[in-house]
Amino acid sequence: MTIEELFPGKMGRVELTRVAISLRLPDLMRAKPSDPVSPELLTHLQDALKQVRKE
Amino acid sequence: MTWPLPSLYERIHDPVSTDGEPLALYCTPYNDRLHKTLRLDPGLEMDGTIQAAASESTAQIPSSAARDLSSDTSNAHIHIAHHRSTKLGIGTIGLSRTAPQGATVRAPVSHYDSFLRQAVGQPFATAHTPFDAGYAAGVAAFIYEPSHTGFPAQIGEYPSTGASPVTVELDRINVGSVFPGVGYQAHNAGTPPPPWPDTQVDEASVAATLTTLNLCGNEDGLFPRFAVILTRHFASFYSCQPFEFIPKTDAFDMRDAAELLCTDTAHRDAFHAYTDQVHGFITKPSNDLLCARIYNHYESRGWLDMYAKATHPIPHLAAGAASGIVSLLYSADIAARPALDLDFYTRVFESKGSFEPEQTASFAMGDGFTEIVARR
Repeated sequence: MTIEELFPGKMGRVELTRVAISLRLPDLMRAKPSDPVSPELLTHLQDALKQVRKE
Repeated sequence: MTWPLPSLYERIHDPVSTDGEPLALYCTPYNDRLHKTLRLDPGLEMDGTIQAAASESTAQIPSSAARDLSSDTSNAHIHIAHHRSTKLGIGTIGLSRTAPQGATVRAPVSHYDSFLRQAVGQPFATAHTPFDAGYAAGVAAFIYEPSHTGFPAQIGEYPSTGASPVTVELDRINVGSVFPGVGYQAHNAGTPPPPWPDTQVDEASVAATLTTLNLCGNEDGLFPRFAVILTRHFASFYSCQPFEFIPKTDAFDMRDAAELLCTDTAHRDAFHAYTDQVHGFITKPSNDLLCARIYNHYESRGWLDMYAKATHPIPHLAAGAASGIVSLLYSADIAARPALDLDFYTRVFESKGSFEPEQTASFAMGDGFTEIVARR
């Protein structure tokens, strides 16, 4: 899975930003849309995405 | 409740300011989104900042009324504080059992919990306590502590987690102001009066229409209008929160991300309801560009009062709101009265015709006004 697939479109970019702040991951902001997401990071990001949508 | 506050009544209908401070109408979705953003990283400890901002702003609210009425007794201050909070749409709060040494304050309607739960449609995962605690502390400070620095508060019960009503425990401990600079000062002077030149907008009609809006609260002291709950807040309370939040993210190289989210919050707000900062805009709308010039830019004035002259743009709310408004006008068929839900927002936001804001002048940086240009 890529960054773009996990965070599609402009709305996805906003959600990526929320996740990046919640996890203190500035490198996530610099990732290219086509960058692959490792399985370990994917789980981490998906959990954070659920959290920022819920809070 | 009846309480003779003629000058207060007149000021509350002033569309720009009261007690010498600018006011803005904030709506539920903006409040919800902003606080979700500020609290994304608990390590930034924004709850304390929000509580302190609420306390300091609230303590300022009734002070002018007290001076007008020459009221200096605790009982009179309690009445004024109660009247003021319901007029602002913050809700009622039980103040009769407060005392100089502290209090347990009880509110039948919790400001953020009640309003924001409507927005999200379910209880929160975490309690939205900071405003309630700060609000109660600020009111107690007005009543008993002229320096407005005492009464740090702790939440006792909170309906977010199932308990109702909300209670706040107050202890009289002098903690001092947490904000730098001169703090919250009257800063609505210097704005040139309308009509302003070089505009395509009938500002007189806009102003006349706005002043006819009935913004009296209901029995709970709330303003249910435009399908949301409005609150007439001190602008300083809201504007200072991004000011404090964004620098905290510098330590993690996340300033750009934080600024993006603050602007996004206002952009979404435009799709629900619009704050009365529109009072003061000079606009040149077209189907591909909006130029919004803001003389009475309260974000800038708030910054200048709290800090020094800005070295960077700060119009997060103005920028997001301006681009949101023009997107509604020209990227979305708002005249067809679509449902302002997430699907509609996503469709417009993702479209190639959506507008992006750019600041071209900044009052906080020394310009005579703030100017936002939003273009496709």
